[in-house]
Amino acid sequence: MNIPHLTFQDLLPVAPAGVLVVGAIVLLLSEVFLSTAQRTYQAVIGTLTALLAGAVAMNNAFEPARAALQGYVVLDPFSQWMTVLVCLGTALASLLSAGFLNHRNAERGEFYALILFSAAGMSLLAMSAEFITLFINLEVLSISTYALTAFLRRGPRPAEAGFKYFILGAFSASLLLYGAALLYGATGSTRFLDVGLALPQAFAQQPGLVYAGFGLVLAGFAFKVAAVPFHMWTPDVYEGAPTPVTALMSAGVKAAAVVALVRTFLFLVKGLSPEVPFIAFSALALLSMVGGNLLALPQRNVKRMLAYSSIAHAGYLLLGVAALFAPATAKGSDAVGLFTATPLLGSMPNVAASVYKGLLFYLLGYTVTALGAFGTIAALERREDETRSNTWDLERFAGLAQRKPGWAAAMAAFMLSLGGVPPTVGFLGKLYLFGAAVDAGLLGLAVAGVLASVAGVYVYLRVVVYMYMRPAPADAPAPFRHWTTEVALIASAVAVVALGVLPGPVTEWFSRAGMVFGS
Amino acid sequence: MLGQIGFGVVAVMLLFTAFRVVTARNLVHTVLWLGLALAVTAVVYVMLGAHFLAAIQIILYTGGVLTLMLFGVMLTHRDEGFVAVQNPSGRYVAGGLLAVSVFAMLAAAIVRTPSLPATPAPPVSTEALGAAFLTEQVLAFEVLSLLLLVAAVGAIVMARRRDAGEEGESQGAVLPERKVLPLRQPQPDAESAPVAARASGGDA
Repeated sequence: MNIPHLTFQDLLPVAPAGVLVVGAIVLLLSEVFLSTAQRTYQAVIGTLTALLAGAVAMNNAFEPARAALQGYVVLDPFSQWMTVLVCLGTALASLLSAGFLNHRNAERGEFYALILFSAAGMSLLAMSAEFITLFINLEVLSISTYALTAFLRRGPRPAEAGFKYFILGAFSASLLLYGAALLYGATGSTRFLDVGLALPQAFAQQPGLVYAGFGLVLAGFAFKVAAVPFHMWTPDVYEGAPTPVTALMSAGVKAAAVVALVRTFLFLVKGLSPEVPFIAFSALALLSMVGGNLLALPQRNVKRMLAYSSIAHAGYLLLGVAALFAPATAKGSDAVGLFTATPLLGSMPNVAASVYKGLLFYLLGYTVTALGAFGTIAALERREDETRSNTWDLERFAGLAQRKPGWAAAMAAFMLSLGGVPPTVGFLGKLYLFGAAVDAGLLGLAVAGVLASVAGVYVYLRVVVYMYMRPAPADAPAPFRHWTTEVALIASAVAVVALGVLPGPVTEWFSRAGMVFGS
Repeated sequence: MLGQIGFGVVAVMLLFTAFRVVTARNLVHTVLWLGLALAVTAVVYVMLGAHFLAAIQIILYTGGVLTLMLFGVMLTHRDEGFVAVQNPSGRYVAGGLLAVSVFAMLAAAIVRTPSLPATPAPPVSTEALGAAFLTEQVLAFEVLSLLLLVAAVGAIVMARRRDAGEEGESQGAVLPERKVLPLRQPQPDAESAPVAARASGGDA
């Protein structure tokens, strides 16, 4: 029997996930051997584990890109940097949860363990290069987030959010699985490498199967990324979930799903004519950018508004994905339109590298910003008003600048960063991503994205206006004090501004990530 | 020809049972129809020559998962009896249109695929399957065990009883209550905790 030889090198890509899983099991055991009711140390263990896993992934990120474990996973800078971002988000979410849960007497080791399991799933998902592995990793990620969503079992909202997320998540996962099965039927393999090799012939013989598989896999991913028109679950789930979990979902789950999407389609496009994936991604990007920002406009509930904003940010990410799949063969004389690809500057191989850099930097910016913004909201929530309907109402931010100037300044930085206003990291992220899209010839789509984000700026500035220019209502809540929350928020706010002013070393690292396995 | 008739009968049975799973009003009926649907799926596996998969399907799903589901129904609805489940959204037209369009897309894909193999692929032996689990598919196999752990932890997190202190005021009260409760005085404390919670909920 042919037994493949496993080496240490093969296990290198999964090492960060291994660290996360070990940390999660330590946290589960800590609940068994508990000797104190003070559980903040669990959050510290969670944070340190995530940081350690991030360090391991960062070390991996400088390895040359290659396939490992017989081509079932890949080790490349793109997936490893994404793991670093996921671990950063997990560390911040874990710190934010400590204060949030402590305030509700709901702090438990299982919560942090589930956060770490979810991060392990994200890391594994980002490096999967085979459909079965991809599906199982996606399920690890999904099931832990379903449980986290319904973790606070008070009132109808968490129950509704958990149930909705579970049903629609299971539905989207089954779409993905169906698509993968059809592609397996067409090509006879589940490994992306072999699927990519077999697709040209399969497409010539069975175009129907390939198209149907392609569409179903795309729909499955679009659900996870929360792209319009597959976004319906997002506002309710984001609103009902515990706020630190919402932050992790909006940043980490999206990041991992985008990487898996890019990886899958880098191989799947090999058989199709390039226009098909390009038009599909462009349409999803356009709908999400415009739809997310427009739907956010009428929201008065800040948490719900940020949910729509995360849909818009998924749209910007998909704009980058569309730029990646822009057909290189388009002629320079083609009219510049929404869906036409006209290489204006540079040549396509350079575009791919700058798109990867743009995607990574954008996700870095979104991770620190979203964690900070949701963290501030979490600190302003009161446990006794979870049953009320106006918990996250805009009025709650009125006059925050007079009462808590530091908190207001941090929230203002997060809002400006989400809106893409300099000198924040959100601005630079948009600059890199839109710049890469323009380089790829997507001028029309990039202009649409900029216009949509102008509408978004109105939404974010409204929060700032409320904080600085409205008098505080009599019953305005003061943020609860817990050192973990403050550490996480200060770290996020510093990162938002510092990366926006001095992106140097990080962009240098990310531009080396241009070599992505499969492209 | 006979095989095609047999497949037709099995396919109609599978469709009918699956349809009843989503339309049955009684939760227990739903679970029983699901069991039938899973068993018929096993028949499909047998017809495809995947005997190992069919056996696993019967043992795990029809045998194990179904029993678990019945236990779940039994334990969660012990007081109310069997509850008729309402369909929360009545958007049958939109749902129907979506279903029909997805079906049309898949049907078109299948119709436009001329060269499907006429005979099923040779069945994979159980031995080869086991070897693949521990060599080629080792990562998926190990992550599956992680998935089961996550699912178990998640289920316990959602189904666990509320801690005595979780709804109360003081954090310090959590630990002693939790450890002492089952040993000394299970009944009075378990009864008083929800009452206290209701009282504090009314104040807020």
